[in-house]
Amino acid sequence: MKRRAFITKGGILLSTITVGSNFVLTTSCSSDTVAELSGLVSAKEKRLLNELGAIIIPKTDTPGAKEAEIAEYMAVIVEDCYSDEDQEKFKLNLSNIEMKCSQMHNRSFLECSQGEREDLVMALEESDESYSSIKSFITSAYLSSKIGKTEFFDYYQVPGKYDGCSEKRPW
Amino acid sequence: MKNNTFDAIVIGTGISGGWAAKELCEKGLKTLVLERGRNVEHIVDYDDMVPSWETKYRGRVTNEDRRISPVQSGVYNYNERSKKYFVNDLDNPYIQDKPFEWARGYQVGGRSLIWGRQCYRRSELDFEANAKDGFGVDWPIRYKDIAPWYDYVEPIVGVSGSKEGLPHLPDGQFQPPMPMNCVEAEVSRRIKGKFSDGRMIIHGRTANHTLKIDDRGPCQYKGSCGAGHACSFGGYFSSNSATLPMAAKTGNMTLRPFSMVQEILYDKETQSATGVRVIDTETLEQREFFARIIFLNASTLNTTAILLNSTSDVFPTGLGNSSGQLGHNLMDMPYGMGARGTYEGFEDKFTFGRRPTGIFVPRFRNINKSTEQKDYVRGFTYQGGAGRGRKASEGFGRGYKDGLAEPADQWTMAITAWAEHLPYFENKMYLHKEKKDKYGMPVICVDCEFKENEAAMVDDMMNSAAEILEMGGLKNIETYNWEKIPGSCIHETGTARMGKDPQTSVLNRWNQMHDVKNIFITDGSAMCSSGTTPGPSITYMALTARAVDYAVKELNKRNL
Repeated sequence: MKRRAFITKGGILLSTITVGSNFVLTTSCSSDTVAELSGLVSAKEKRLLNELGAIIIPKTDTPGAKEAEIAEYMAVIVEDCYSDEDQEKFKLNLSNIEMKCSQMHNRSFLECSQGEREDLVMALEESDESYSSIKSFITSAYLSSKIGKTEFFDYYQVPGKYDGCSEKRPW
Repeated sequence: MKNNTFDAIVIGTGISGGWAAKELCEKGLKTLVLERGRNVEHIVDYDDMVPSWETKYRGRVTNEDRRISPVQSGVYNYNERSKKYFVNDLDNPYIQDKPFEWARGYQVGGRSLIWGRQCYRRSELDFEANAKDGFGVDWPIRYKDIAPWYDYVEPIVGVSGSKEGLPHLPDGQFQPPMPMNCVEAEVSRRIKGKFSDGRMIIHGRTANHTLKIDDRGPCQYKGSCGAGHACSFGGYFSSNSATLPMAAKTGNMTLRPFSMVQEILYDKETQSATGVRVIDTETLEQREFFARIIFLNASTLNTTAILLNSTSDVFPTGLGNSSGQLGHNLMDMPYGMGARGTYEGFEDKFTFGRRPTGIFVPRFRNINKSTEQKDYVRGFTYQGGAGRGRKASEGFGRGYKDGLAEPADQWTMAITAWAEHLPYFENKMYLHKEKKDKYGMPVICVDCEFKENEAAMVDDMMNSAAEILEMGGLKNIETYNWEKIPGSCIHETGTARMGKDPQTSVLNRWNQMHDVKNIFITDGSAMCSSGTTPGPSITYMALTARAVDYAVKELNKRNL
C-alpha cells in the first residue's frame, strides 16, 4: 500500500533519483536493508546506538529501545532526512560519547560491562551536549516505533469518540 | 453528442469544482470535469489506516522532499504520507517577486483532501466592509443573497458547530458541535460576559461530521485529516468523499484526470466561450473540448492564469480582462499571532481521541461603534485549544522510561489569530513573458505583501489573546508571532473579483464574467475581500451552488 503510494507521479521521480542509495533494490520498505547498505551510519555505530538505548530505555515489563531496534530507524533518518551539517554533528556526537567512554573506562562502549556503561551514562547525564542530543533522538525513535506505540503505550488507531474530560490516560 | 462536446465543462476538482460538478450533473447537464492531476478515489487510494511505524520515515520529511518541493515541504501538514497530495515544485515552478508560499495539490479532489476544514459564514459586516471603508470594490451581493445557499450546502457538507446568535458570525445548518475539553469549557465559562467588547469562546465550526451523512462518517477522532492523510471513514468533507461521487451517480459526469486547461476558446462572433484547450499532462498531447457553459474552478492563481493565457484580438491582455483587474487584488490572510499559558487544575483529567477542531473566538473588533479601532479597519478571530501533553522525563534507565509515560503537570492552552487582508490593486499575480513550465504554460509570478493595516493589527492580536487567557485563569502567559509570509494561510483570493461595475471588476453578482457571459468563476479568485473570519471554502461552495442555479436557469431561458 505504502510502496504503491510512493510510485505514483512524484514517486517515479523519487525512485529514479534515489537509485544510487539502493532504495529501488529493496523489495519491501524494510528500513534494515536500506540502512545496512547505505553506510553513512556504520554497523558498529548502530550497535552502539542500540546498546546505549538499552541503558537509557531498558527492557522492563515492556521491551526497551534495543528490542525496538531503534538504530535501524535512526540510521535511515540520518541518511535521508538530516542535512549535511546535522549528519556530521550526529557522527561527531557518537564519537564524542566513545571518546568519553575510553577516557573513563579505557575501552569502547561495546566492550564495557553493564555497570561501566551505566557509570558512563551517569557521568554524561551531568551536562553533555553530544549525549543529550543522541538521547532525545533515541527517545523519539523508541516512542515512534511499533513497540513504543503499542507495547509501551496503549495504541488507539480509531478512538471512535472524543472525551474531553477523561479519567484515563490516552496513551 | 460528439465525444468532445458537452453541455458544461468544469475546470478543476477541488472544493468549488466538486460542487460545480455535482450541481451541474444533478441538474441534468452532461458535464466534462477536467483535472490536471491523477485520479484519487475515495477510500480506495487512501493510506490513512497504515500505522505510522510502518511508514519508512514515521512521517518525517526527507532531504529529497525538500529538494523537489522546497515550498510545499514547508506547509504545515506536508509529511511523509500527505506529500502525495502536494505538487512537485520543480515541475510546477512559480516566481516569487516577494515571498509567497503557494500550497498546491494537483489531483482529483485538489486541496479538499488536505484542507483545514473550518467553515464560517461571511456576515453582513464582511459584505459591507469594502463599501464602508473604501478598500476594494463593493461586493455586488449581501448576506441575504447568499444565506439560502449556505443553508443549502451546509447539510451536504456536514458542518459541526454551535448556534450562537451572533450577527457578525451567522449561524448555519449545523450538526452537533465537537465537545470542548474540560479546560476549554472552564476558560470559556470564566470569560463569559467579562469583556465589554463581547469576547467569547465558542466551538470551532468544522466540516468534520458528528453525524453520519449517507455513507460518510461520523468522525472517528483518529486525526488523519489534520495530518493530510485523508479519511477512510469519510469523516470530513472533500470533493472525493462527497460531491464527485454524487456527480458520478447521476451518470452525467465525465471525469478526465491528467487534463490541464491552458486556454479558454473564445468566439468573437457569438461573444462567448466555445470550449477549452487541454494538454494531457502525461503525453503532452493537446485536445479541445466544447460546451455551452464553463465553470472555472482551478483555484485562485491558476484560474486567473488560464484567463491571462487566453488572449485574442478582442482580449489582448487576457479573457474577460476589459477591466484590467485580472490578476490584481490578490489577498491571503495574516495569521499566527497569539498567546499561550498553563492551567492549574484538572490534573487528574485527560483528553481521549484526536479531535480535528478546537475552540473559536469570534471577531470583536470594529463590529460596532464601541469596538471601533483607531489604528486599523476590519479585524481578526482566534482558533485554539487546550491540551495535556506528557512530561519531559529526566535521567536514564527504568525511572526515565517510566517517566516518559507521565502526563505533564499542567494543561496548556493557546489561541492564534487569523486576520483580514485588505484588497490592494498592487498585490497581484501575472504571467512571465518568456518562462514556461514543462507543459508550455507561462510561469506565474506573484507580487503580494501585507501592508500597514495588517501590520497595525499584529500587537493587538497578541495582546488581546493574552488578555483572554488571563481572564480565563491561565498562568505563565506568553505571546507569540509565527511571522508567516503571504500565501501560507492558503486562503489566496481575489484575482478575478466580483463587482457591480464591469469597469472595475471581472465577475457580476452571479459569478458570471461581465465580458463573456457563459463563463462562471466560483473559486477564491471571485472574492472582493478576504473576510475577517477564516474558513472561506464554505463561501466558495455556497457561491458555486448559487451560480450553477443561475447559469442553468439562464441556459433554459436561452440567454446563454
